[in-house]
Amino acid sequence: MADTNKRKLIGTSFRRVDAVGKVSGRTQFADDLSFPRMVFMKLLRSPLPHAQIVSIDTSAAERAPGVVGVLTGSDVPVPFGILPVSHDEHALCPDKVRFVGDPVAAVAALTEEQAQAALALVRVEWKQLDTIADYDDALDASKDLIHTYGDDHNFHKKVSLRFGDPEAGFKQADLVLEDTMFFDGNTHLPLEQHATIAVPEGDGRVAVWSSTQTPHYLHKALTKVLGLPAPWIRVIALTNGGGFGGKSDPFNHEIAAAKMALNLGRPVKITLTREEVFQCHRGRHPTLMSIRTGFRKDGSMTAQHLKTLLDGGAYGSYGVASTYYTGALQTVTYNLPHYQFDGARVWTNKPPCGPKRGHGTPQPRFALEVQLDKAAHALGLDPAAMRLKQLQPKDSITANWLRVGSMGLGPCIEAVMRGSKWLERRNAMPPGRGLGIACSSYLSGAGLPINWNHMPHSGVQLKLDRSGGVAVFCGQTEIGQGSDSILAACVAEILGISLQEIRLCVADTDLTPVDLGSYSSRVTLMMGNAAVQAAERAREILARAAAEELKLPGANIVFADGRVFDAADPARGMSFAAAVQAAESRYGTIGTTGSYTPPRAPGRYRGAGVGPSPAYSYSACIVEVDVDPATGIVRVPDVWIAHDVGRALNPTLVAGQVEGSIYMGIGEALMEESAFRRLPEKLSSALVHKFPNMLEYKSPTFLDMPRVHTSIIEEPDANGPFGAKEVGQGPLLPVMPAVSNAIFHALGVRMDQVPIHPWMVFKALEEKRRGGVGRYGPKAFPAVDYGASLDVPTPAEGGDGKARNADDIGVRGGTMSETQRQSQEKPC
Amino acid sequence: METALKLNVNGEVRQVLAPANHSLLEVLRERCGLTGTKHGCELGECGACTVLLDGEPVLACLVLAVECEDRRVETVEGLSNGAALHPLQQAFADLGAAQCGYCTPGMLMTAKALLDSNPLASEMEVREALAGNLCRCTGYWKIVEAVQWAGRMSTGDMVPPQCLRERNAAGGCSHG
Amino acid sequence: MKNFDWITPATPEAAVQAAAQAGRAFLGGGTDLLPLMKSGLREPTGVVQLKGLTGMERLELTADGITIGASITLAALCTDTLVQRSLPAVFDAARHAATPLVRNRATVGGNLCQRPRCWYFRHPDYACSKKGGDTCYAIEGENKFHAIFDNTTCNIVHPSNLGPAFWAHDAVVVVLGPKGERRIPVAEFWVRPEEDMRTEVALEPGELITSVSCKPLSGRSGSAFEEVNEKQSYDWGLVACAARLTLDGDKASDVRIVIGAVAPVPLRREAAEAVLNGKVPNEAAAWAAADAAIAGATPLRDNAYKVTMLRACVKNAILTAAARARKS
Repeated sequence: MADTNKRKLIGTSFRRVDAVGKVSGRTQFADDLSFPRMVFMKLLRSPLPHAQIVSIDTSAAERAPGVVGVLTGSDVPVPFGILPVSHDEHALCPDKVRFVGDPVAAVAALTEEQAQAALALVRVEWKQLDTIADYDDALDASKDLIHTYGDDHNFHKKVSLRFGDPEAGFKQADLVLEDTMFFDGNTHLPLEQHATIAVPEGDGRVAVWSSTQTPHYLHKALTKVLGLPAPWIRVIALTNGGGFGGKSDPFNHEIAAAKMALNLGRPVKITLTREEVFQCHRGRHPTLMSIRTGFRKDGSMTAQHLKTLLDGGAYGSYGVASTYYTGALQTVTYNLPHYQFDGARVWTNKPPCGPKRGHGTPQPRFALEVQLDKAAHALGLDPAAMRLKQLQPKDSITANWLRVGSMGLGPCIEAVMRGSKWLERRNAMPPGRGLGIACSSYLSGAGLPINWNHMPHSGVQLKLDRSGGVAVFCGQTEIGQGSDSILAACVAEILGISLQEIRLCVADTDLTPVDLGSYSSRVTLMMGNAAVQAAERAREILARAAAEELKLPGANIVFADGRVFDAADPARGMSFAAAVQAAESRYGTIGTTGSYTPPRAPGRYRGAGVGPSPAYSYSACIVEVDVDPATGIVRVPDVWIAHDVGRALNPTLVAGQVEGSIYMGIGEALMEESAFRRLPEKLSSALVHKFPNMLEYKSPTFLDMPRVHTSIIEEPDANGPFGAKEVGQGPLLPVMPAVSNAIFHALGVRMDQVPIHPWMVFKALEEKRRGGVGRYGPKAFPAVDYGASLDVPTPAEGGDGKARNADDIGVRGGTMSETQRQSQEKPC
Repeated sequence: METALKLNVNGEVRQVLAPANHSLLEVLRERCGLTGTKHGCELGECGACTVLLDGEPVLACLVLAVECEDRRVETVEGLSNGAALHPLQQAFADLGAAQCGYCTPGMLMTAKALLDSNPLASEMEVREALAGNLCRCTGYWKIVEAVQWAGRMSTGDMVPPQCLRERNAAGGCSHG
Repeated sequence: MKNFDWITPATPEAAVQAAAQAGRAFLGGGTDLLPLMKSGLREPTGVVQLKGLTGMERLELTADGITIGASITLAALCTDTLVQRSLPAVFDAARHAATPLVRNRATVGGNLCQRPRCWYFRHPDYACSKKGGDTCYAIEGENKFHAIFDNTTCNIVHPSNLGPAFWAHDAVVVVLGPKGERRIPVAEFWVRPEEDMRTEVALEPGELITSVSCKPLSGRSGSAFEEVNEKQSYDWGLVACAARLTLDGDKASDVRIVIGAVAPVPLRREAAEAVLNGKVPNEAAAWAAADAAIAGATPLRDNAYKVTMLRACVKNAILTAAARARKS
């Protein structure tokens, strides 16, 4: 780790390197690009939720005015997908469609309007299949299969993991609570719609410019589907106008554009309409949860059994990982010695769910934090104090074999208690007002890559120029979180130059070393470490040359303010450029690389790959609500948030991510929902997104945003660059349960479901008035057979990270092709 | 059937050909090459396409280009004075009011209209004026701060944030 | 949007003449027409611009009351001191509509004539009753934002919030058509689905609104418009109420209570007015009037909450109007 003295940039609120471009309108997003002879592509999307394509006739469309090319599923038959175990997507559906919006044909024309008009001329004959609308349909074994692979009929995935002896743990408990909760689906709603331009180079190569968070994964998918040598395909990710996980899959439109461009020999652009962005989705999985926890009198936990049921939509996307994530992080905040996790994902005929900010962890976090609140109430304990007493220790290994390093949740809780005057105010709130607390944790990058290999997760390459400029090459993608700035700042800090001397070359699979992508909050930590390594290597070379030049062998050489000089006598030195020239004269052209691979995590059981991280961030949140029981309207005037970021590399950027996370949490708590609507049977039984537009899919405005009181807590982590951990996702997670807990504090009714609408408040109040519990939430958790559990002894039990019964259970699920072979006889 | 239109954009006269069914947004982006103004939804539901029409902030996706003949259109590209950033741009850049930057052009234009008539707008006035511009990244508060700061800068009451920071850095303080 | 002829008349008469041709639409601020056109719900072959027509942007106090030109924007309306002072319900209604950006373009006439927000109506794939089909999908479908009164044939809620506010001020809608000018009391301006499924306002084809004349407050009077929204901007009302009253001593008189966002048309609640007339407009009386206002509601599967919410909304509107009356 680099030395932490006298930072010029790191730790200061330097201006982001892309700020001027963005405020002047110069920054180019994908749809801002134009290329000579560019044509426009539109996709024909299924109007039915589940149907076989009996026939598809594009002849009329091909003859339509302005049309230059048409593709159907037979033109792109190779399947793809983000996870190796679920390559279940096609750029254009070849034989069946699985949700309203599933693409079946692509038309390219000279203008967008001509392409749109030609879509209406494509004739498709459909044979409708059962619509699987929700969990009940998915659990119904008599309904048509959405996929020919999966763990059980319309179950995509089932997992069952047992750590320790939960039943023994429950017996030790003074109080056992069991709750069923529901976290509805929602979507990313980036301001920028997805856009892609595929530009063929005339020699068989093609460049794909796209608004994607994951150019590396897009590159892999293109390589597979197009069947070209990987170096012939170049993916360039433009700066994203917001991603939040919605641009992390390789998409139909990206692959179809590339294929069309290669066929036509001219650039092809497609920009999705807002409605199509809703259909792309990959948003938060609606998740039903059953959580049963044993508590001692002091509120600490003895055991937990968590069951989750995810509504995955029509395709795999990140879904297998999402399923594991709905269980993995329950152990990193509070000590949980025994833990059983059962998770399952079902297919439904709706747009596929995937990774949205928090990726599968907000849902179980909601369940845990609300249930903790119930326990505090039942045991007569202060919910904040109760949490403080049972924090998972730093530098420990959890029951499910996650290695916790730095752990600053304690100071976070104390900070929000102080800020909100929790102890003084909690028993004296005015009518309708309540305070609720919740905490959370998130990964600073997933410990394992999606495509399993031993190669670095992030690479940085430096080119040092005689002019004193430094070009920094890295595959990372700026999606608004500030990664460009952190990359430049890490290098500039170590080399003692200004940001103005740094030229970034990023997110280009031809030119930049691989960075896996902007997801799982990995970039600051992984790219940062790689950048630091590359810069330190460069500094070492320059220092040696400078010392020789200055005839001061063995001197302590300092890099600061664009100079390279002797620490003992600062006047003896040279400019940074002169130092580069000195090095170049001695060693030839100067370039260095740095890379980062996370340390291996101790878990060795099947599924242990989801959850580990080089470092976990921690957040504590107190929400104040103002609820009017006459209207049911919930307002949030204030939120106190403390986030353990390890080290704030740029306090303004950190605060920006915190505030943005709170904003999104308020949205998820009170208004955002990806709800679907069934048409009456006599129409088509279509299952369409209820609100595929930005007015009816509600998101908070300036006037809905609470005041945010942010405390940045720094418990530096040895695994992070300069000690830094993540901040892009963690602060979102505690907001939703804190809102629910605050409503309980205000009105005495429990919201076991989000988003929380006025009619839910009314129903709960009415129930309470009639002498009931006063709760809104799901009635019951369906009977799901999760199968036999993997039995994994905990560290405390002297385990070795492996399951003791892995061989007995056998390989369940396996890769897609394995299970497809198994289920060959099953009907489609 | 395309009409010849004479548009005044950022003080410059542009002759364009456009059909009646093209919005001002489309014409700015596709006929004038001014891609600074963004589209987010096409239906007037997000504010990303805000431009000034005769000084008033409007949704360019819901204004027909043909309605703008001989009217004054201002976009983000016209905000700066030559190479010098407008105080709003400076404040947004320095105070972290732009993250992904996609809502930023629309925000800036709405904010400019506000400050032109009310440079010392209160926090509530800023929030109300911008209530039609959605942002998914920032959580809004840094935008409010930047707008108020810019207003005070333009009345001479405040120095640019960057100056403040450099002064503080020289004195050893962190961001204030 | 499909292409169209662009027509720019100079006078309202010329506009009416231009609209006589079939397939033509009037363009006010474009904040409803353009989204309808972009969604394929309207495909006019000609668009007649209303902005700039002589005489349609005046705002003045005349013998008829306060005349508000139909092309006045909501933004102009909610920054006008005469309107704030003399038509506070209208001021409130304009001020909270949509967003500032929409209000800079949206016109008074357009607000009254805008089409419903029902998500079945707005989606081009559903041939609902209102669009000439034979089914109201909302009746048995998803109806949490739909009507709680008069909801057996078509369950839209009337989207105009100026509507109830104008009604609380006994407005008259002045309309120009091929057969000349008509003056329509606002109570008669609304069209129920049972009368004519295809429109929500009493305009014949080719007619346009030129102005709305409202009765200003006088003496010790006050009016108010309240809306309950989930979001504090950019959101449609779940329920709404406009109230006006005059204080006779300390008792309410000449009460108007008009509810919105709960039925296919704005509804004046005379029974609620009768409860309040002659009483001191305090909390208890306001709740009593509110109870009368919600009486007879027939909620659907998902929108029973609106009844409870409306009750609070009516009470709040009454009390705000009363407070203003006391101060005047």
